Order: sequence, then structure tokens, then C-alpha cells
Amino acid sequence: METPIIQLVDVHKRFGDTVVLDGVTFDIDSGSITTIIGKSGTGKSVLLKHIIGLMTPDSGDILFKGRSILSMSKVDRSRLRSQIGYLFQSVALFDSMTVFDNVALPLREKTARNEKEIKHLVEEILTKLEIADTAKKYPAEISGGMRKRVGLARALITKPKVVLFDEPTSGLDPIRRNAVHSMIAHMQGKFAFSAVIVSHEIPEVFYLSHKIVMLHGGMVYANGTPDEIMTTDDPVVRGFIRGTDAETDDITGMLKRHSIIDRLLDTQIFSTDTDDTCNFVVFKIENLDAINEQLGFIEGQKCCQQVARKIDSKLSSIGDSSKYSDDIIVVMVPDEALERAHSLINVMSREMCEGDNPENGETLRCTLSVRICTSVGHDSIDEVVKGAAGETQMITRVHI
Amino acid sequence: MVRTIGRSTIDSVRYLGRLSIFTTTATMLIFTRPLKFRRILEHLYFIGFLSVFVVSLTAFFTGMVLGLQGYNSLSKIGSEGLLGSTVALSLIRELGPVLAALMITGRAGSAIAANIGAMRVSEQIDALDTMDINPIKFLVSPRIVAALISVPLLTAIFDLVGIFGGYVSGVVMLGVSPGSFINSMLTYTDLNDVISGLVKPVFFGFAMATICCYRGFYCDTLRPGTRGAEAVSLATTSAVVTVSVVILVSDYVLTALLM
Repeated sequence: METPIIQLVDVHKRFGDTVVLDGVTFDIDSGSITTIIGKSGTGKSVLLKHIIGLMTPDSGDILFKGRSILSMSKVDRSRLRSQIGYLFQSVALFDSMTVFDNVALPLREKTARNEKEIKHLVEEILTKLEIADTAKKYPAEISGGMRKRVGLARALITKPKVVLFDEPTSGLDPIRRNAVHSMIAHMQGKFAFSAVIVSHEIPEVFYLSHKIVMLHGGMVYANGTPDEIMTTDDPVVRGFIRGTDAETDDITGMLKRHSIIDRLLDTQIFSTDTDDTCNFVVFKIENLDAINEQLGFIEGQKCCQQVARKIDSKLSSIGDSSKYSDDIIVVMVPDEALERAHSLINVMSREMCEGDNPENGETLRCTLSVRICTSVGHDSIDEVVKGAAGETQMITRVHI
Repeated sequence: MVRTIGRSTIDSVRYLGRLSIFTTTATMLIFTRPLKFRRILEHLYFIGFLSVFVVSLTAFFTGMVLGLQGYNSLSKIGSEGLLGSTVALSLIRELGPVLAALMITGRAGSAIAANIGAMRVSEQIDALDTMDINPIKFLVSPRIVAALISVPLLTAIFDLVGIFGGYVSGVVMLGVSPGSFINSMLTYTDLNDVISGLVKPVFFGFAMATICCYRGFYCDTLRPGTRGAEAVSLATTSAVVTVSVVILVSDYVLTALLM
């Protein structure tokens, strides 16, 4: 088994009489996204500062690839820091420098690259993050969302092995919030870094995470996959998740994922027959990654929003629609409405294609696949949506 | 009472210890690679060039006042001819270094403390740490070099403009002979006076840069529980007051040593 890239072992930290971390132990796996959740003041940001070495624990240890960070020499610790990127909650850009200089700073200070190479690398990452036109501006002259992206560019410019994100979406509007989440997932997929995110954005952050760690009372209270955390019966975890989580998604206005999971569970609990079925119309934007890459993450989110509105306007009369993940929308349809669902999907497909202009070959079009999945008995919704359980029938694939 | 005295003594010793470590580190880092001349030039511009006007203005009127007061005193004993040396020696040996340093502290030192303090409270210093960029080398060392160069130069400007102010007041306005003004100045001012007047500003510049940087750098520890803008304002005030006191006290010590 591969050694986790970072391990926290029984980490304690107190400020005066206040105990912030009281024996925190967990692992961060290489190449994965780990999200730390918990109420305000539970030490999430403090934990990140321990990982990067801005704070040292009162007791306990922090290991990087199995080696204790605390007992490392100054040179080794310096080498370690060059492998970790950090996006501060406040972004912490240098006010006296332009966006370009902010992003170029780690390259200028810590590498032997010449100015031409630095210019190329900075322009490349600014373009990827859709902020190339802000290069000559100062941080005070750009919006909060752009500042976050500049911070992200600065954190990623040295191609670190680990990136720590301290509330990367705080203060952003829903579209930009989701765009930043998509961006993190996309960049993580592309550069294969290990990411640690501190976030309150539940459940959005669950869509991109491989592992969730919940801090409570200075300790790791829950630790597992997003699905395990989402479906846990623990009242503290459920209370926290439901407490921070609005019933509907900000962008689409649809129910959030946990609501549809709850409804399926309710159906299964009250079902007396183990062969009872439940139908889901599963809409998937097949090429969201390509849209994000070519048109930008904000355009990607706007595309999701438009698709969701269209689906909701057509199918809301026959079932509850829910944003299941960044690119999947699920509509729960009762057996008796299945026929009508088929015809509404056909109408919707035709309407969506009406604006299509085949001559305009250069425009990237959104590819939407529609499947009807049927769960049987106690199939989990994840298995059903992935097509791993129940029955799946491909209805159509349209280019919008 | 004893507890209070003991605690304040411990705090003072701790402060001096931390300041010494900070100063030594920053000074040593001046000589380590990479040497960033561009950053030193930026600070030279800010501390030096941008202070020229305020230093010159202060110097001119100080010189004029010296000329006026000197003339009144010297005329009582019929020695108006010594006005040039009186003005020049006062400025070169004492007033020039001290007043120039105080003016630079007010203009640039306060800005240094506020700037570094703001960087501390907005986590910019932490950001440098996370990028493995030594914040003391990045923020403090270039400022020390810039202060070491610009404060003596500004003091020289202060002396020249001040003497000119004394000349305007004494010769142009009060009718002292230009020849006797210049002659007495050249006769009674020797190289030791000039050296003494240029050694002091080196020390003052160093003290100004290190104390202002230190106060800004550790603004969040100045008073327990103080954060954000309040910490920055406290650090700025504290930096200016401390540097001013250090300049005045050390001026006496340096004068005694250099006499």
C-alpha cells in the first residue's frame, strides 16, 4: 500500500487556555482531494498551517512521505515547502505588485529560470485560469473571484505536489464558487497534485473530494468518502451537514443531492416489497471538462445552469429534480409518470436542438446524454446513476 | 509593584533579545545570494528620493531660524562675522543628523512599519513563508541597505540646504557680510566635524530601518489580543516613538564618543 503523502499523528495545539487541536490523526493520500469540514473555530485553518509549517504542534507529529516534518533540517524543510502550494483564505496577494508579478514571484525568487521562461509560464497559467487580461492590474483593481484565481495561479505556478486550499470559495457568488470548484477538480486531474481543501460549501465540495474529514471538538470526528459521510447516521455529522446545507442548489435552484438520496431512502424504507422499483432520469453533460477547458469554468457553470433550467421547466411536473454532481442532474420519476417522461424528454431534445447551427462548426456545443435508470430493491442511488446496478436505458444524446 | 517591575524588565530584555536576533539576521542576509539590487533601488527611491523635499524644506527653515537667532546673540557681543561658523557647526554636527533622521523617520519609517504591519495582518508575510521566500531577506534587508545609503545622503542635503537658509537669513535679510559668513564657516569647520556629522546618520538610518521593520514585522505581538488595523496603527506609533527616542539618546552618546 502506498504511503500517504501527509500523515497527521496525534496533533495537539492550544492557544492559551483554548484547546484547538486535541489529538488530530488522519492521512492525506497521494493524488487525491481531501476536504476538511467542521464548524467555524474547530481548527481547520490551523491544521493547514501546521501542514505547511507556519505553526508547530504542541505535541504529535506531521509526516511528509513518512518523514517527520518537525525533525527535518532547515534545508529539507525548505525543500518541502517548495513542494507545497497554499491558497490563503484572504488570498494574501502582494498589494504593491501587479497580478503578473504576484504569480511570477515564486519563480523569480526560487528558481533559476530566465525572464522569458517566467513570462511564458505565467501567461500560460493566467490564460488557463481566464485572467490573462488582468496581468498588468494590481490586486485592488480586480474582483474577489479574480483575486482567488490569481492566488490559485500563484499556488500552482511551481507545480507543487500538494496544494492546500483555505476556504477557496468564500465570498464568491454561486457561479464563481462552482467555477472555482470545477477549476480545482480540473487542475487536480491535470497536474495530479494532492489537494487539501478547507471548506464550508456542502455538498458542492463533496462532488470533487475523494475523502472528507470532519473536525469536531478538536478531533477528527468523521473520516470517509463523501458518500459515507453523506449517508452516515451519526447525528452530529448529519446535523452539521444539514445545518450548513440549504435544501436547494444556488445555481440551478434544484434540490441538492442529499435530498434525492433521502427521498430514495424514504421510498425504500416504506416499501414492503423488495422488488419495488424507483426510476431516475439521469441527464449528464458529457463534455463539461472540454467546455471548462476551452470556454472557461464560468461558461461551464453557465452551461450547467441553462441545462438545469430547461430540465426543470419541462420535467418538474412529473418528478423532483436534483443536482446530483457538477455534471449530472437526476429527476426521480414515479412509475406512472414514466411514459410521460419519455415524451417530455423527446420534446425537450427537439427544442434544445432547434437553435443548433450546423454551419457554425467552430462553436463548442454541450453534449447532453439522457438515460432512464431504474433501481430495484435497495440499490444505492450512486450505483444506479453510474449504471452499476438496476437497469439503464439510453434515451438520447443531444448537442446543444 | 515588584511583580510589575519584574515583568516589565523581563519584557524589555525579551524585546531587546528578539530585536538583536532580528537585526543580526537581517544584516547577515544582506550578504547572502541572491542579491536583488532592483529591490534596493526601489527602497532607495522611497526612503531617499521621496524624502528630499521634506528634508530640504525643514533644513531651509531650520537654517533660517539658526541665522536669525545666531545673529541676535552674536550681535550683542559684536561677533556677527562668526554667524557662518555658528550655523554650519550647529547643522553639521548636531541638528543636521538629528533633524534629518527624525524627518525621515516620520515620513519613511512610519510607512515602513505600516507597510510591513499590513503585510503581516493580511497574511502576506505568511504567504512568503509558504513560498519558501525568507521574509526578512525579502522585506527587511533591502530596506536596511537603502536606509544606510539614503540617510547620510539626506543629512548632507539637510546640511547644505540649512547652511543656505542661514545664509539667506543672515546675509540677505540681516546684512551680514557674505565674505565673513563664508570665511568663518570654512575656518572653523574641519573634516572631523563633517565625518562626525556623517557617522551619526549611518547609525540613525540603521536604527530607523531595523526598529520600524521589527515593529511592523511583529505588530501582532505588540499587545496581546491586538489584531488587524489596530495592530498596524500601534506598531506604527510605537516605531516612530521608539526610533525618535533612540535617535535623541544615541545622539548624545555618539557625540560624546566622537568628540
